[in-house]
Amino acid sequence: MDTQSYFPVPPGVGMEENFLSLDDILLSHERLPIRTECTFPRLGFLEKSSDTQDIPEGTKMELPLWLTKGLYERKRKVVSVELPKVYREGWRTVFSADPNVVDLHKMGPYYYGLGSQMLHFDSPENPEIAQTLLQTFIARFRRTMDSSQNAYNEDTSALVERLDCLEKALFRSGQSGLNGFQSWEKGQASQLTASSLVLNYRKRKITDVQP
Amino acid sequence: MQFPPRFEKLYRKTKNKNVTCRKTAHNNVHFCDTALPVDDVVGFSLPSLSVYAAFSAGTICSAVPVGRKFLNTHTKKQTDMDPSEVEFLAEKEMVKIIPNFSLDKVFLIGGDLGPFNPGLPIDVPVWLALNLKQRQKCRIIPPEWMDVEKLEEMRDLERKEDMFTPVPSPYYMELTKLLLNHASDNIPKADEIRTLVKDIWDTRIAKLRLSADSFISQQEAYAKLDNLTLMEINTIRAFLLDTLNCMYKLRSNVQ
Repeated sequence: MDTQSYFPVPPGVGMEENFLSLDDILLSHERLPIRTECTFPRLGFLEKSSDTQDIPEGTKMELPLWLTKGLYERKRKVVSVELPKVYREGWRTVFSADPNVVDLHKMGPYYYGLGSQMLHFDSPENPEIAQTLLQTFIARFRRTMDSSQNAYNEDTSALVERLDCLEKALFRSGQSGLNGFQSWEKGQASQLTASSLVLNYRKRKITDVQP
Repeated sequence: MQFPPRFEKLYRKTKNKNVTCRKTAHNNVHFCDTALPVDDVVGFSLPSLSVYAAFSAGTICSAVPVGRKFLNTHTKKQTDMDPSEVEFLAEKEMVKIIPNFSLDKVFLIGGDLGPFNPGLPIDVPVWLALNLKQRQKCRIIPPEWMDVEKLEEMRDLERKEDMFTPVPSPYYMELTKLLLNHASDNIPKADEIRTLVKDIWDTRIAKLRLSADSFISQQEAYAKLDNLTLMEINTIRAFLLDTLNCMYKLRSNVQ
């Protein structure tokens, strides 16, 4: 059986992030365009364009997601978040027309993840964003399924390069099902091979150690 | 049956919800045809009712209630069976052999295997048949469905129908592979049979993908598929479950 030495924590897909997931940690580094609603005293050094001591109200900056989520509050307006380009009206019509054409890796490798996190920021377009995410996922599912279930023993980089990170994880699980079945059919499943753990630790064989 | 009070409280609080628990039994636990790994401590999430049942069966030793923030991080990773495990289950099927030795009735845990007399056909499980064949102690008779005309009919019927047709045997793929690898001299027209079974398999897998696609694109709540074998389900299980998980979470964003 192909057991791994550890089980990586999967990313949380919805509005909750998984604290221990590496994918979610990388996702939270994505930058969002924001507009400050009050002054940030003595933090002028963060804003490279102007040389003032404080960051005045109404400045447009880019902050990473983790900071924005921490600063955002509904009642006391500290920052207000603008939607990135991909989630605005223009791109939403592109996605509703034909989602298969879009290169989701280029549009930010975490399209679905970032989109779900954007729903925290109470934009008036939230229902449409959520609906677009769902419809895009469903429309692109067919292509992911076909490519993952049929590409055996070939170079899959051309198939995977236009996929978002979430879809890449699905592609991998589809491939693992296919590879498992094919290797069983060829009879490789009953052959004894060295475990991946042993190979990773590169144990020296006794014949190598002894002179 | 007495349960520790902490578990009772957990069960009452989380009825019908998913509960994270740690499996500390040292054997494989089978839940609805999914095998859980033998690792000592593996966190996974199960509906609390089956945790209750597994606890009473003695297969898990502790249920650890984990805080809500971490509940999702301990999801079950190994959600599919190996094809070798499906083949293992397939070896329980009975097949007819003609032994060339004699032996009295054998009393095994799984059942009795009748007295073996040379030249008289007898029903045995596939695992025993293959073992005897490898030691050249028997001759295997192919099952009734492993016949070129019958398989051709089934293949044509499968291609005509939209739904899944009844299978020759719930383990047809595994039995074909096992019997044709070890006993091809006892089975006439082995190559044609292999090709026909492969055709039937390809047709069924294509239908399965089509129905999975329509299931997802129409966002149905459940689908009923008759006459699917375990091997076919196994190849698509991981992918389909992950997709459904993602779709569920994206759908809960909309509300």
